[in-house]
Amino acid sequence: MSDNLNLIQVKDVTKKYRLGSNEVEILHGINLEIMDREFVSIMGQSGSGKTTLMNIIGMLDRPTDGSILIKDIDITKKSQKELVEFRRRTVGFVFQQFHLIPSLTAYENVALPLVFAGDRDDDAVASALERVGLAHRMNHKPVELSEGEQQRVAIARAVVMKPKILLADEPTGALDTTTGSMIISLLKSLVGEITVIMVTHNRELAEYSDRIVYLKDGNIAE
Amino acid sequence: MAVVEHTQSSAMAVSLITLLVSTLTVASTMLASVNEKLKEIGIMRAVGASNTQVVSMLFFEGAIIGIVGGVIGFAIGTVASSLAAPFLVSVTPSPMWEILPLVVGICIITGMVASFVPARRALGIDPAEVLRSV
Repeated sequence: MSDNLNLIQVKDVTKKYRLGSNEVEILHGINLEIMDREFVSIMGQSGSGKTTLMNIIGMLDRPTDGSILIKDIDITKKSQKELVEFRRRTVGFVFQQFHLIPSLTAYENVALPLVFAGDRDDDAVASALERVGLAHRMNHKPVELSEGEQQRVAIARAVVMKPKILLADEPTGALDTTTGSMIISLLKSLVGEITVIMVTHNRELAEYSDRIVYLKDGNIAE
Repeated sequence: MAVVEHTQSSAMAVSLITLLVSTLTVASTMLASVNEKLKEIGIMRAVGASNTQVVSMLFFEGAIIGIVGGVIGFAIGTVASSLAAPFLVSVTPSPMWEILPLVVGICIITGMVASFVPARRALGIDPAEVLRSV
């Protein structure tokens, strides 16, 4: 058994993108440790690398150099097949634009990760929707829901597999202040069970978290 | 007899060309569908869809387009041949129901073959890039 309390260890992570003939380095050797069930906000100006770092932690994107350890296991060394399993069971994503499938109902959107994992579980879907207060709206399609409700459905979809980590990229960016505060309270209520990493521009909302990490020009300025 | 044989081989050539055009049309439709669905495919990848699952969905969609196209084509062909019957000499067109399963089978295979290029395109989608740009 490991004595390490850190759930996530970001070690010397560098990310470079090719833009035409130029190579641009977005992240410059980032080091970061996040404890189990911690609520961490990542703040920084546009282009500072916040979303890139979040995507790399969730392995939606791979680092150019460095490693990401989840419970001491380097996930950057994993195969594509293992990463699919990692995204299914270990992380949940919440995006600024909700990213629900428009042709599916709230229920079907939440059920999607279970369907892909081959774990169809109606109780888990109902429970996730109940948790975000939308059990009565389960048969509605995204277009019939308010933006706040759509984001709550997206949160239900992100937690339905009971992941260890919830990655939220500007989850209130498309919402008004009141609805945004409700969404943050909802994220905060999950922290007892899940590690939450939230990317935000909003200092006031970031204050809800246990710790704020500042990114500036691809470096941590904590 | 030579005329009948000539007509038969011409009809076969037309059928093959039609099949090729149909395959390209389904492929083009599927490719457009993948482009429209970039975001959805990115979301599915982010919530745990494997490459196999994404490709299976596209092949399934191609097969459905093939079945629907095949059945509609068979129906139109049957109606058109019965309408053309009064103008034909020494030939009496009649629906060949026995070849319907073969037509549907060929259409399913056509739809799936046509899905190959779109499926490759879908596998090349970078979910982080797609979800960032929408």
